[in-house]
Amino acid sequence: MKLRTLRYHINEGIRSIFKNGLMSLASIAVVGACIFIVIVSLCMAVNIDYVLEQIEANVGISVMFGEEPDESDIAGIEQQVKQIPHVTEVKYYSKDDALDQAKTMFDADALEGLREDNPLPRSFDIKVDDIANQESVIKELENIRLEFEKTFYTDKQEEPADEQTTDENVQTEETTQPVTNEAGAVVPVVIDSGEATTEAARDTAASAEDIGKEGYVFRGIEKINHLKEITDVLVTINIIVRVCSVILIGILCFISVGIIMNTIKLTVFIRKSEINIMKYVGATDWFIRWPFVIEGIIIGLIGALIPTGICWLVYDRIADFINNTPFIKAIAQLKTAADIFCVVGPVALLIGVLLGAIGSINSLEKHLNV
Amino acid sequence: MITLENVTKIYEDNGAVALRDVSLKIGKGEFVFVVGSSGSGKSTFIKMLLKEVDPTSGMLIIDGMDITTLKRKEIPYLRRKVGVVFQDFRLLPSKTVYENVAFAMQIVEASPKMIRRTVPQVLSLVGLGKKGKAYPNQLSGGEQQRVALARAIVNKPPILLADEPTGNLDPDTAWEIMELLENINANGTTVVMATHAKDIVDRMKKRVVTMDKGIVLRDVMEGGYDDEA
Ligand SMILES: Nc1ncnc2c1ncn2[C@@H]1O[C@H](COP(=O)(O)OP(=O)(O)O)[C@@H](O)[C@H]1O
Ligand SMILES: [Mg+2]
Repeated sequence: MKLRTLRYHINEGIRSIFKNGLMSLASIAVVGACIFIVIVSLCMAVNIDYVLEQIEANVGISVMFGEEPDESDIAGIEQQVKQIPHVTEVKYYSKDDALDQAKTMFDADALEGLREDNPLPRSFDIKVDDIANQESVIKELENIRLEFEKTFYTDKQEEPADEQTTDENVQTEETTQPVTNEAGAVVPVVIDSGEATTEAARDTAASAEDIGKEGYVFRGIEKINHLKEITDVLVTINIIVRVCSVILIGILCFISVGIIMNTIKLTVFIRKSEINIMKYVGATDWFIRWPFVIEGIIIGLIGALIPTGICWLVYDRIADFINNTPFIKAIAQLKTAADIFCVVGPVALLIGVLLGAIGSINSLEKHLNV
Repeated sequence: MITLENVTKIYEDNGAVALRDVSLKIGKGEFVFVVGSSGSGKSTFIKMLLKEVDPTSGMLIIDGMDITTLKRKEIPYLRRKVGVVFQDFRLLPSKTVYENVAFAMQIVEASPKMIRRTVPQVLSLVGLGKKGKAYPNQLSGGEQQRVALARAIVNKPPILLADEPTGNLDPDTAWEIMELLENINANGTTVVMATHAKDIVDRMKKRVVTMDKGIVLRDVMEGGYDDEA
């Protein structure tokens, strides 16, 4: 297509919008309404996601210590916990910290009397990068717990290495050790401690009473709390919100294309005889299509710009209000208008353009066969 | 210029036989009337030359090109070679006289300069030099048909078809249009005109192809409407 022809088509498209003023307004209103709903659902989806993320981030895992581990034990465990993949933060609370917290929570200075003989446990507060990874982190924590528990027995045992390796050639440290096989030859066996650790820990535990069995009371790490119910619910809500918004937006786009097609079909129908005439004069299909397509694109663009502008202004107010209301902002913040609309704006415009173009092309096809 | 060989057209939806084994040759620069009563197949003949309808059987050659095998995409290029005017003018109501004629040139992507030079020339050729800015609904029937003629010839097609171009016009106006058609023909354009206007055909003394129920009844040089073969 030559540039002058493009100019002709753009002129024709714009002219047609003004010529069919009322129809154009109706189309813009329809596109605008559809895109408005798309924008609202997008804003909701993005923010629900964002709020969930913040709540998730606050739902951590807490690890409570018994009375027996000393400060260096705990420091060692902290190092191990920090090594676990997906752990982003480990915060230690001493007995005094726990008491302070309880005092503020219950607003009870009377608790001060407990400071000397503090019954509250020492604990870690552990944050995980994504709620989906919580379970794997908990598994690792359980391993650390078992292994640590084991030290209460192995420390007192003599020659623990012999006992561990006689049956299954498994041991906790990487060493080379001579083993006598049936034939009487001495074979050096190298065992990597990495994967075998859990096995080894259980073996040792089994031989040193019943660590981890039903009813066993841990002396090192007493409890691992992780609010599984809350996190499960959050994960479910997250999935539902995502699925619903995708379905909703899909349905809306479908409806919009239908309505736009019908609106443009009406315009095309009115100009059916014109299209016919153009074909008699020797116009190609695309020569006839272009002005309609440009008309559709302009209608789609205007139809997208108006709701985008309105939503932006309104959203800015809402986000401003919520993010500055003391009680609500403590729970979660909303994304700022600029954050959301630098993505939603272009998406809305693109949808408008596509809806307009697809609608006009589709509604023309039938009339081009002359 | 135009050759039909054993062309038959049966409309599928109602089984009407519009053309029955028609064979015809029209040479370059000829002026041919196609006459016959209503329903004799004149319009079907014209539509076939524009590839608006396809023959059920037979061969159709225009300007050396077999148009029965023409692809849909190639139809516009055929129509640029074949100008056409109708009884009902078929102007674009939202465009001015000037724009209606210019449209035919925009389709072939003529330069704006070329358009600005040619359109006024052609408009004055059909006697509408001063009506360029008028819209079709502001013109009389005769004037509208002149615009249609101007549009049909502005790209200088070798063939001009006319389907009852005087059907909606009073006798005097009809004659003005006929004079224009004769001028266009005199400049070398092959003209095929379907009509049942007896007086016009009788006075023009051109080749007359008479159709009846889809067959060619007579084909007479310098004939009249009711001539015997
Ligand atoms: N689109 C069509 N569908 C079915 N039959 C048609 C159609 N057009 C014309 N016919 C039939 O074909 C015959 C010839 O019609 P037409 O070519 O219009 O004749 P004329 O122009 O001489 O009046 C008539 O019997 C008419 O009913
Ligand atoms: Mg007819």
